[in-house]
Amino acid sequence: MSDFHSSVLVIGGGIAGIQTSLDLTELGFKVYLVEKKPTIGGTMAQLDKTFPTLDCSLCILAPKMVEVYRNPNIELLTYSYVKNIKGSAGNYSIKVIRKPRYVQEDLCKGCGDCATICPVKGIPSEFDAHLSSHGAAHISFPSSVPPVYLIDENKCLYLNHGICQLCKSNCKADAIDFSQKPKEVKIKVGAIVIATGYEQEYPEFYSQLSGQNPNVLSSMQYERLLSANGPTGGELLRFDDKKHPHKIGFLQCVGSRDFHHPDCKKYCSSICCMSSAKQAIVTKEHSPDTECYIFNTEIRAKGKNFYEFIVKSKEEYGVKYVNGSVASVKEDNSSGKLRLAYENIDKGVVENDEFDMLVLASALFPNKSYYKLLDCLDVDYNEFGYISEKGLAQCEDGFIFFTGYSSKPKDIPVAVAEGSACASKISEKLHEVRFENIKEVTFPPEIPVLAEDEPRVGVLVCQCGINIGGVVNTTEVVDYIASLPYVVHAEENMYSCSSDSQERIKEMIKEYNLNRFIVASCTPRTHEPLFRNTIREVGLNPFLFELVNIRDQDSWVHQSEPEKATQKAKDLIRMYLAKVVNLRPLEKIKVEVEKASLVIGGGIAGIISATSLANQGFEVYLVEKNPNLGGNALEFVDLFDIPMHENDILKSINDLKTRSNVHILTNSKIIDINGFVGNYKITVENIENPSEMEEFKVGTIIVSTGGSQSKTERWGNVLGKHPDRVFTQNQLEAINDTELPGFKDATIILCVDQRKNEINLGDGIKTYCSNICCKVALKNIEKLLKINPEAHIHVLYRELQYSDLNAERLWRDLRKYVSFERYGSINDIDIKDNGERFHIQYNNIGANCDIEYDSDILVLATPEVPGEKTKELAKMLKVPTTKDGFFLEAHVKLRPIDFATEGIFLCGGAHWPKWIDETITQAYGAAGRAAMMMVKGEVETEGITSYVNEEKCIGCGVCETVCPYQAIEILENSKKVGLYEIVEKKAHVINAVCKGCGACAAECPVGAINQNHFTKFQIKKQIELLTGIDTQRCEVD
Amino acid sequence: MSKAKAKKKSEFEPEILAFCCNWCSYAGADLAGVSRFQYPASIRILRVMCSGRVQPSFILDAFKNGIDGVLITGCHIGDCHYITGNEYTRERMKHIKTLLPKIGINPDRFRLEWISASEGKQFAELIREFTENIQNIGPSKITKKLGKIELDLK
Repeated sequence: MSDFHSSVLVIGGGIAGIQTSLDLTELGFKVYLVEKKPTIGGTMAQLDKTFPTLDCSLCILAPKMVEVYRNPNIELLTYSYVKNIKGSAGNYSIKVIRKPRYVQEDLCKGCGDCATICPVKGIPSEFDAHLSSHGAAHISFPSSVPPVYLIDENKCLYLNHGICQLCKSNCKADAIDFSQKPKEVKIKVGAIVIATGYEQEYPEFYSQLSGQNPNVLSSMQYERLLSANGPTGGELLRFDDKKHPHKIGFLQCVGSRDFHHPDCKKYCSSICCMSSAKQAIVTKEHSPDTECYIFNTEIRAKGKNFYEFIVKSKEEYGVKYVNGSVASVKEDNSSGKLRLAYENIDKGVVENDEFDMLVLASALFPNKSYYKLLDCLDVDYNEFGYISEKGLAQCEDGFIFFTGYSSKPKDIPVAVAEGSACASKISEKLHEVRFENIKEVTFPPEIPVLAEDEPRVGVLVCQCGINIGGVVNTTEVVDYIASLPYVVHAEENMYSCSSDSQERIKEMIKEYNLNRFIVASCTPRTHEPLFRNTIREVGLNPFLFELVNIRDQDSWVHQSEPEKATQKAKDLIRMYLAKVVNLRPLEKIKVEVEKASLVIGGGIAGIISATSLANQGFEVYLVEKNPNLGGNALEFVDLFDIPMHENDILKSINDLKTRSNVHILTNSKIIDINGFVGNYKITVENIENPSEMEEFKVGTIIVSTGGSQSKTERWGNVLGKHPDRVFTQNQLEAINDTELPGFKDATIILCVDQRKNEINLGDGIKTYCSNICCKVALKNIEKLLKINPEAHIHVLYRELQYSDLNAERLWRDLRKYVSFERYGSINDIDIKDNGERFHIQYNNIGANCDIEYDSDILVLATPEVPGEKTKELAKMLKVPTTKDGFFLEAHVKLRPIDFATEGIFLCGGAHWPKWIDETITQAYGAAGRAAMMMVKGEVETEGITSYVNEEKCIGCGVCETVCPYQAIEILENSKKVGLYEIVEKKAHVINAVCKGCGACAAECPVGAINQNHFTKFQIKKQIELLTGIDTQRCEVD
Repeated sequence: MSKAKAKKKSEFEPEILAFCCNWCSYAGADLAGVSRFQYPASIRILRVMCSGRVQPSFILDAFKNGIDGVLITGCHIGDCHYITGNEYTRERMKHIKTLLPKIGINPDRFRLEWISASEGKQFAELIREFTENIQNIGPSKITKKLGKIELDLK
């Protein structure tokens, strides 16, 4: 056994850190999550919407934050920082400093009574990007995790002047503690993940753009302004005159992509184009009359269906894009407007215009604590201010990994995949010590509660200090509830969530022999797991519980109507009582999981996934249709900005071949996939020898079938005659230097048949951007220049997607030797056969005239497309694809490498064309996600699932169609009726896969499917009890 | 409108049943509370995991019992925690709208709205507006029926 520590330190509690932490605990490691702010959630919690689906950011993030908070294997150290790191790979000693909140975390109920009474006002809110303010006693935002207040030590009257202490006397929970001092915590871990995220300057920093003007906002400030929980409640207002802005300018690349100015960042922040397009769309949705202008250097929309999002903003929402930078911003004091002077590149002129509000999409950069950490680890950073490649490799050797914005600029789905990838890499290193520090909670055996047992309900009504008790007459509520049928005992208390209350609940259950329990307090979204756990601790099934919300949805929203609020509390508890008496114990069934994985596709993604899984000790079946492994990657001459080269790939393949737990099936085709998570039966056929079949069982499946570059019909008459001088980009990469015909002039045409927009139209033009062509062109330029340094190379482009650090640098270098020429529509490029050479004529944007020249060879960036068998495979796996035929993940933002169907994962070009670094990240991530399902050898089903009444079921299959998780199958049974044999169809719920949404129950035409815990009977009873209770009849009964 | 009639309408306190999905609209209702946005004490929220669970018979049951208004809220289309659950709700509820007048119930007593977890303010506004609408329509013509707590012994 190795002597590595089985715990991991994760620094940074944004979405990258959250994902890494959650995955690590699933893989069997304890996590210390250190966050310098008082809450986790990071930047994503501040966002209003996310692109390109316009999801509500908090809606998708908050459940993950709560999951972290409730996870017994994550020790959350918020408002803390790492002071030092000592040790080596597998054995680190960490010193963490916990800053004093002056509020005791275990006592604070998050009621806000301290903030209400605090006399200090006007401290700028960091969460609202300084657009609102709070007092010395405050919480970052309402859904903060942990939901604990804190006192600003620089502003508190007591801490600075020895007077006040109003909060202390107002806190019913006695949680205020002014004696707190910074506390040093020592922890020991085996690996470290750094996920420190990014920062953005406030607009004041950009004085040349009138950043001090209240109507000039940073993009984060604008995000807060748009947000429904922001400073204006989502109303779009100017900050000085409180009027609606009618014309808004979004300024891109402020303080970035600038190699000359010392205050500017040299790189592209990579997410601003998309985030500005999103903000403009949301603005238009708020008020369609508002004009939105986006001033850009060029639009970089690098990601799945991102380019279509930009087109949608123009065509559907009327967002205007101006290609050119803003030279100056002047304030017009009389009109209150902001006057812009800017260059319009498309027209070749300088123009002026007036705006009501400006949004600066200014540079994003790693925060200060990042550099302290790099110093602490003694690694250097590159010219862009990010950890160097050498540093990164050095860190990985020491089990230290970087994710999110801390390794380089990236958006949320890439950060999430990278979080999972870090967890997978750590699992490779520490797999021998898995589960050593994991807390497995043990409970006493469950008390059987049968359907015929008389319900005995206990009710606890919470006063939540004065939060409920100050409005709702809780005593009256308790008296009323105690009089209702089946209620054996009801009482009230100050704080139901405190630890002494948990003991009281247990006492009540024992004392009154209760078999159902109701707590009427706050929201089940945060507190239901706590109470369920409590009743389980005395042997009651956790599903025999309901939490009735009489705070967030009652006392807090009817503060001036105590009588009505009291009546509402009674009504709600009565409704839920009608449900509670009908609750049944539910079981989370354990399903055995085969500790083996099928990896489909032996390209770079498949190789990495298979290797990572094998390193974690799992059996792997790697199926590839070609005779050899390696895929597209082997054809690449050089992979310039990733730490992997051709030889490394060959080495990985050879390494994989020697593994005893890896079965490589080349020349093979999958012909059948049967089963569900944990238990898939796979049949594979040898393509050359179809009689040779292999069958095996796996628990999980990884899809890494990749993609390829398509051919074009365009200029067919001309190009068809000279196939030896026309190449796709991939073909040029793959060809040997010596096989290339001699050339003086070469032309690379980007965006051939892709990126459809208002001027680039025509059949056969794909709507999307293939993402990788601009970067592949850089490699091809290098190749062509190596062969003929004197050659004249033309690159005909539309917009260059060089948001990666090294691509930007290489492009700046290469453009000294190569002419980058911009065109508008592919239809404007005319190619004629000039005998020996091609004659090219196109309309140049910028010069605004036709340009003609001759070229010896042509290189075309045609669209990247999914593998040819994608559709067939999708059908077999029962997973969806996009309109372009790529596989569709479970959620584009937060589940980028999962399918909605449990147990199946996705990575590489099958998901979307992507650069190799991202493919590798996804491949590690997919391996980690698959490993999570397999480490325990079993998965637990949801307790709340659907079930079928077979007698009623007519086998129509509607439920199967509506189920988004393929959790319902229609089974066919032969049955003998008299002389005849008939086939009877019945729906069957696969418990392991059911997520418990209940859509099938609502859709079933004969009422044969029902949802546990939300049965038709239970809900109907709740509805009936809303209007009141017929107690008389009950007494008669 | 006569003064007496107007007074009568404002005195009427509607009883409204609101279905909220656990992930978006219930969270939006919570946020209204956390932000202390005040709204009329007319609604009683019934939590379901997904708006897709709500079957038409629930709405009819509510009206049958004399409830004055029924509201269904879910995640915005595309945001559904269960991917497509709310799309089925949308389709189902189109039918309800056309069915209600046929059985003598004003279709405006029923409403389907999308509320996200960050739309606390919108939630409060929705309740204010819907309550007012129901007040204008007047009390349900169906006599209120009191419920009975019963056990499902099947």
